[in-house]
Amino acid sequence: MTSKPSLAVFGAKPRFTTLLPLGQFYWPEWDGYEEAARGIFSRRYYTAQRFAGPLVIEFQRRLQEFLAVKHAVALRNATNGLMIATHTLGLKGKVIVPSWTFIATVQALLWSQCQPVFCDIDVETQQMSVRSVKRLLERGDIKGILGVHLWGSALPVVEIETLAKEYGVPLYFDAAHAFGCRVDDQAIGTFGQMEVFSFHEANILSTGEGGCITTNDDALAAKLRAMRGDHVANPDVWVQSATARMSEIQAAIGLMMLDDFDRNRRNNEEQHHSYADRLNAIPGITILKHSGVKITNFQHVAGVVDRSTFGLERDELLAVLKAENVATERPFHPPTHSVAPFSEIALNRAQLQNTELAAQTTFQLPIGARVTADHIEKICDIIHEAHIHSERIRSVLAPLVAT
Amino acid sequence: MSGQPQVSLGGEKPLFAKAKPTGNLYRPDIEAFLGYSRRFYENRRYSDGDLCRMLDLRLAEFHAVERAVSVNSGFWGHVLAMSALALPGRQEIIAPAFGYRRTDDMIAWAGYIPHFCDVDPDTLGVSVDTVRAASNDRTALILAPHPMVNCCDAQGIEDFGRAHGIPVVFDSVEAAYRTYNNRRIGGFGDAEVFSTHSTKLLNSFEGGYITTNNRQLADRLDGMKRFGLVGDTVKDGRALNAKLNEVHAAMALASLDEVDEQIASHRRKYDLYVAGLRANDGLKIVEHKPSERADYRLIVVRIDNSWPLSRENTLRLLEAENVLARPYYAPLTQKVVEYPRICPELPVTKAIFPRLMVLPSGAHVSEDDVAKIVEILATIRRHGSDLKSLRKLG
Repeated sequence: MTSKPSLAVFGAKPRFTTLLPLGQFYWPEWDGYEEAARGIFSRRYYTAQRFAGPLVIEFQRRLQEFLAVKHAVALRNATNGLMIATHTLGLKGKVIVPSWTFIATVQALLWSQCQPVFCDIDVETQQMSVRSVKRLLERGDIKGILGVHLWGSALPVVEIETLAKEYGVPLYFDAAHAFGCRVDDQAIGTFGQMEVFSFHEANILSTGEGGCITTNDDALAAKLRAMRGDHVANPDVWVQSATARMSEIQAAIGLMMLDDFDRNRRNNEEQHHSYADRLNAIPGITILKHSGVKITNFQHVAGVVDRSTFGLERDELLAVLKAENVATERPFHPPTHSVAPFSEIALNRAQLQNTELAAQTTFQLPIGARVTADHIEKICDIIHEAHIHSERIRSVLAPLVAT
Repeated sequence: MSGQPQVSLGGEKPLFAKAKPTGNLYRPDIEAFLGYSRRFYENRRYSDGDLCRMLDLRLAEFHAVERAVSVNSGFWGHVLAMSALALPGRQEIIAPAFGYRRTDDMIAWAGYIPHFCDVDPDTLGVSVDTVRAASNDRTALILAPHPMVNCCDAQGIEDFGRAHGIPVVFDSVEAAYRTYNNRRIGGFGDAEVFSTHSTKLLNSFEGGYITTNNRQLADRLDGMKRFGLVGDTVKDGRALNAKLNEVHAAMALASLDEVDEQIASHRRKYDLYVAGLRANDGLKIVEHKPSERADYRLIVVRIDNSWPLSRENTLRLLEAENVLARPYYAPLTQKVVEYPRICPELPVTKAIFPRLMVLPSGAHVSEDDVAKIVEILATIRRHGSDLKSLRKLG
């Protein structure tokens, strides 16, 4: 590119007039929404009272069919899901979890009076490291493993399942990023004792807020439903409820989003390919490849910046993008193991080297319903120009970064 | 009226074809709900967006408080409020055993031990005396629920908390519209927590909110309900997701728009119940105080010794007619749970709980329905000894 740099960081007009957020923001068409709302208003069945309502029951059935899993328990959000899952497994004490995850994964442990023990990740895939998990299990005081499938990929399920069996500890998963992903022919949602999905608007299947727990274990499923708030007639011992019902309108939206799943996944795939084709050609930018899955939902565009070849640090690139009105949240910032009270837990930061590296170098780009091919072109242009003009950008940004 | 029953009980078919519940299940104008929904269709954010902001402002205005913080349920609103306010280093939270059936679960999630207290026989709520009896040097917080009708001594309990340096959270789920000493509910104690579950005054499908005059506390709760996030940085590890979504916020706004009309409708039905039960000397309606602003939403009756049946048999008889009257709370001390609780003797609770029930009201109950229910109760009163032998009572 030989033209005069037109980046906003140099004072040019931002490429985007309003902020382009990360994603996914898929949502039903108005007509379907209105029809669903009118149906609910005429039935006057708004949400579970003693038992789940008809649309929640239908949504769960469709999820079970889609994932080929015995039980899907629809919930208000995935954080409640992780809290309920942890409690249902009866976990107390130390649970292995990656620090490189959205903080809710670890917060869920805290509410159940469990202590996180942070494992590291694989530097290439950013999934939890089998070697690191094994080393922690060898300590002998581990009560469970909370695995995390990141970025539309899967952690190495076979290896981690083998380790969990070998050490006799329960294994369950935060699968917030992985709805619709498949390991060989088996859907994520069928591994371990339980898996927890998020239906937050950031994920491919959205109910605004929402989530579900999937399991093939009948006894666990019954307890999950009781904890969610479903009626249980005179039990000997009452479960500690954790009110987390999904409403009928959320379920109606979820059903429509399931209908749209293939179309939205294809849209993600096209967008992901467009980004990867252009950005991988830029020195120092690597878009993470999907790992551990035969089919992914392509719901994230996550990449890493190598400062020595790209010319800018990750945070400098994000400053360039921010000036252009492109969303630039640093993923999982700050890394969970550095946030109180987790930072107070004795840990060996040297054993979280890959996590710390990922926290310095990883970025995410917008993908989904609000993103067009033209947006992707523009974003890739910005990143390309940022590389070419990196030296000048550093001189402009240095005073800003210093403050 | 002659001695002949006007309605016959225990027939082949229930008197009501459709069940008559106690839950509100209020249906706001659907066009208003769709109108609010169009806003998030325009700006394409579906959780914790502009409608939630608008709702927070509207609720603060409704309660005449500095701040309202919308959350996804009363339950998690309580857990957040207790977690934010409970005194560090202390272990117990005082709450009545005669209250919402998940009260002790909420306290356990917050990480504290429920210490049950008794209630006042007149207000049916906690009093300064019952709270004092349960307080000690391990008390971290007082959780004071308002009863289904009228208020507990909100001012007295607020003063008690302040005098002893113990934070007070009111469970005001049933009291959203009310005043105490002519002051709006919402501004008492350190915080008040509300539910907007569809069975409550305001229907948002699911949801809730916290009110407070303490801006710092509101900021803290705003962060805690968003994973402790402030901007794009996590500042607080002890947090969770209790954000309200925009669809539920749209519903809350539509319900809030019509709240005064809703109260007028409750008032008409309440007056019918009061007039209709006046002649029935076995049942005594718990009346709203005329000196305060009231919602007239829930119909609570006391059963006295002259009533011919036990409450349980009365409820069974009513249920057979599709009148889904309910006990007024069951004491939490009756259930067995998996976490520690402190359960002292609670003589008032023990004496009054079998004598209270809640009669159907809300959107599924018309003024005609109330007349019929009153008639059924009159029939039970007149023919109680015969009804005792009905097969349905087992």
